[in-house]
Amino acid sequence: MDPREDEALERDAAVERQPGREDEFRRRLKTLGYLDNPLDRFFIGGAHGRGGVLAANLKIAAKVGVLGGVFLGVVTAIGLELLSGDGLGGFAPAAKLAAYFSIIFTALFAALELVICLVVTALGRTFRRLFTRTEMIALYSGIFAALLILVYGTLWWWAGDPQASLRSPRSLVVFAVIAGLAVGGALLTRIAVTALLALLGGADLAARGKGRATKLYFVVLLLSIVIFAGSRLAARPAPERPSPYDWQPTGISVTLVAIDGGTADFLDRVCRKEYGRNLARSFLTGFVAPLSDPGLHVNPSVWTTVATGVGPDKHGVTSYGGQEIAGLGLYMKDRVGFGLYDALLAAGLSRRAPLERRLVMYPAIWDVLAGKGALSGVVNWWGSWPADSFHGFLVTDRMYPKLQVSAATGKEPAFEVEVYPRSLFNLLARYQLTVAKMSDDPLGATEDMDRFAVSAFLEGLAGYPTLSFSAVYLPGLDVYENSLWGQGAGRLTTAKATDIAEGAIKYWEFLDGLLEPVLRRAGPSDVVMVVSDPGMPKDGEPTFGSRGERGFILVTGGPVKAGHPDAELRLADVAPTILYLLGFPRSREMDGRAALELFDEDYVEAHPPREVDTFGRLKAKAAGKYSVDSALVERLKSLGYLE
Amino acid sequence: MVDNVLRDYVAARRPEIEAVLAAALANHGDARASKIRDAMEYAVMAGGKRLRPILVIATAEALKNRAAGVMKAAAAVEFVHTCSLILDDLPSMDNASMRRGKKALHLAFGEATAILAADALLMEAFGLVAENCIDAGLPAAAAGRAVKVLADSIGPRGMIAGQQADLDAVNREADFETLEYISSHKTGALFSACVEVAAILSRARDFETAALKNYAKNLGLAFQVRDDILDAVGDPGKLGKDVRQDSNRTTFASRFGVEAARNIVRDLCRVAEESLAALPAKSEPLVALARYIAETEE
Repeated sequence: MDPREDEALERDAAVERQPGREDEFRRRLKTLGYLDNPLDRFFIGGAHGRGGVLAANLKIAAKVGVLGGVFLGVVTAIGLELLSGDGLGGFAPAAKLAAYFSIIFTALFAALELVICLVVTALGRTFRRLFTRTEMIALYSGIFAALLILVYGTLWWWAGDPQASLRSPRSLVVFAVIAGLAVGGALLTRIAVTALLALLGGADLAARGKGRATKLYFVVLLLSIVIFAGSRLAARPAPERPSPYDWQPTGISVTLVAIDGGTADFLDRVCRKEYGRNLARSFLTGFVAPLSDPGLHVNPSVWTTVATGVGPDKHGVTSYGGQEIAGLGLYMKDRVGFGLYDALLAAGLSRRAPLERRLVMYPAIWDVLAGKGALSGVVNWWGSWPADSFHGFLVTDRMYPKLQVSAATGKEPAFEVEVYPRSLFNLLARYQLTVAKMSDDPLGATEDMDRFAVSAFLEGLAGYPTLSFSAVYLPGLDVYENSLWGQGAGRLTTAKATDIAEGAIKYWEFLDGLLEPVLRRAGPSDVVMVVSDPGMPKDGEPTFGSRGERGFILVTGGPVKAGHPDAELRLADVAPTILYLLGFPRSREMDGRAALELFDEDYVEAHPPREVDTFGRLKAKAAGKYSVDSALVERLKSLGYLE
Repeated sequence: MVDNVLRDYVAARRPEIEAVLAAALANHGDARASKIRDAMEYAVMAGGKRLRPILVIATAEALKNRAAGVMKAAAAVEFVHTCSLILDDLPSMDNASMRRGKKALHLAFGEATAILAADALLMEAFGLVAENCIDAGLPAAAAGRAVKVLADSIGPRGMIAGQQADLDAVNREADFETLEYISSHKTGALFSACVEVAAILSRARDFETAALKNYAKNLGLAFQVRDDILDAVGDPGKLGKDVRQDSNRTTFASRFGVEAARNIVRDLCRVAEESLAALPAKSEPLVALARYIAETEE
């Protein structure tokens, strides 16, 4: 053996025996940049760009914010447009909404992303092993985000509408939107996480700008828009034209008095004891039947069904109102949007707004009549604003609150299409109110409300002596009872129930006096129809006063025969029955029927009921130029129009 | 398992590498250049693991580039490596008698021809990198950068500086920093150039290049330390070259012991492997290469 080899081997053996050599080797290598965990170097540490970690994080937050904001803004607008029927009124408002939500989401995403970046940066220093491979982390993050959105979206849908059929078109739309959001969320998360890790490693988002994920992002975005546009074109044909038919006037005019509150039992009780002579007389000489529709609970929905003869699935009114997006003039239905609206409300970006006429998707009685040139007069009906045009006269549900605001502030009320025609507005604008506050004087305040409605009704009728149909909505009974109960505050004691029962009778007598000129005004061939909504109590709420399971319909005059049959009528029967009386056919789309049992057989024989396929659809109108001022919104809220 | 991945990968790529090397060495009928060509061919085609060309190709593929897009650069680094071996074996340097299981080039063709062949291989290498840049349609600045990266890895900032420091360290105790300097320049510099040239040709982002350079840095040192270990304890029959050549100089193995050196090699290879986390996709060959160096002594 070479003596040099012996020497080397001996030296090696000596070295092996020295303790701590390996540690020293390792330590000294580290000082020269070896054995440096690259996760420190590439994800957390030094190579994060010129501006430092914070600048890198700000940059990625801004970029991801824009990408995420644009995507979710567009998808949200598409989803809301689809879910809210024709509520948005076409492409332009939807585009406006998309831009709006894009801005909101961009800010939100950027802020969130910044927080995530900073957390990851901080965590990454401690838990380096969390970050092992960019693609894997990004992919798993994307899958996680998709699952989260799917679970959340499904639960949201389930909670909102547990009875919904899974195969209904609406459910399919919702699932498509949820799936779209899940895919989009997954892609965005993947891009965001990849970009975040890359940026922390010294690259910028452009490193992935040409990557598959980004391409996929734009493809999905584009596909969403194309699918949306395609589904709109396919599913939403132009509003159907009404079927052709002749109006065969009967010479009868119909007056519809709508009383919110009041059950069939209550009517029976008060009329038999002759509380309120006028209505008691009608009760004894007219046709009286219970009126109900167990599926309908919400006031605007109930009264729109009465006016249209169709359920909420066709007329589209499902809630008390919607929301107005500040600064956009956009109005959207309430209770859609993945909890988004509540967030917008909480953030002060939108405010509750009452129902509008353009959200009613099916023609009401007065719309059908207008199609044949017949005049109507309507006062205080739900969702009747704006009164920008009307065939007859219209006093919308916003006139009274406007007068209240005016009386409270001492300012002359300005015309904002609360009444049609304007001359009637000018007349009503001078109407004197007592301006009683609901909290101080519930009876006075409520009476004021109904008194104004009936007065406005009579003023209108005086100006239009040849109306075929007139209707007035009187919310007082329900409002007064609620004020006595305190809107569900506390348990309903026997004493309180007695107070409410007595209060209901007292108010009934007031209503009776109020309606006397209306009832007296009707000629012998005219029909007066008094309809009540029972104010179906919600689950857990007690039945009291005039509230209960079933309302009533009381009809007098003309060909109506007296009778108190056991059979019930449905809310949707009211409109086809009125149309029949006026000489109009019933539309086969209507959920209700003309209640021929109300009338003399001879009359029915002479006027056989007719049917047509459709009265067409009301075309959604774009948002008007009038908006609701805050004081009016507060007033409407206090009157129960927004809840 | 790891061995198989690397073996399969090398087996799959090797024919292409050999073909490119052979094509680059072709004489094209010039009789007066036949001796130098033969010498170049003798040195290059004598075998070897083709580790550096593999590194170039695997890097390109890890960056989603095609192998064909870096094949000339792969040949270039093998030429540079072979050049360094020829010079290393010269009597004035290591005075080695065997290389890749054959006589060292200076013993087969004479010292003068060996020096000329080494120079020629170097020039050919630059030509191949330039050609590769042109073929890839690289912008002039990027092409210039690729050539500069290779030049730096060889010249007074790279291998040659490392070799000089190595010569100066003979028969004297080298301190730790000098050992690292020799290693990082003699071996690490070309490893780093392999990944960096491939990254430039693959249009890699900065952070990807940085990650790859970190991989190469740790891998290069691991390779050198492993070389030291093999020189101390290796079997010349298996290695195909002389051993105990380093007995007159300090090495990491002699300074810290063979066992410590083995552990450090494993650690360096693990860190090298972890560096790959920054790449867009997992690169099995690069991982296998790191594990091969960590685990195999042949």
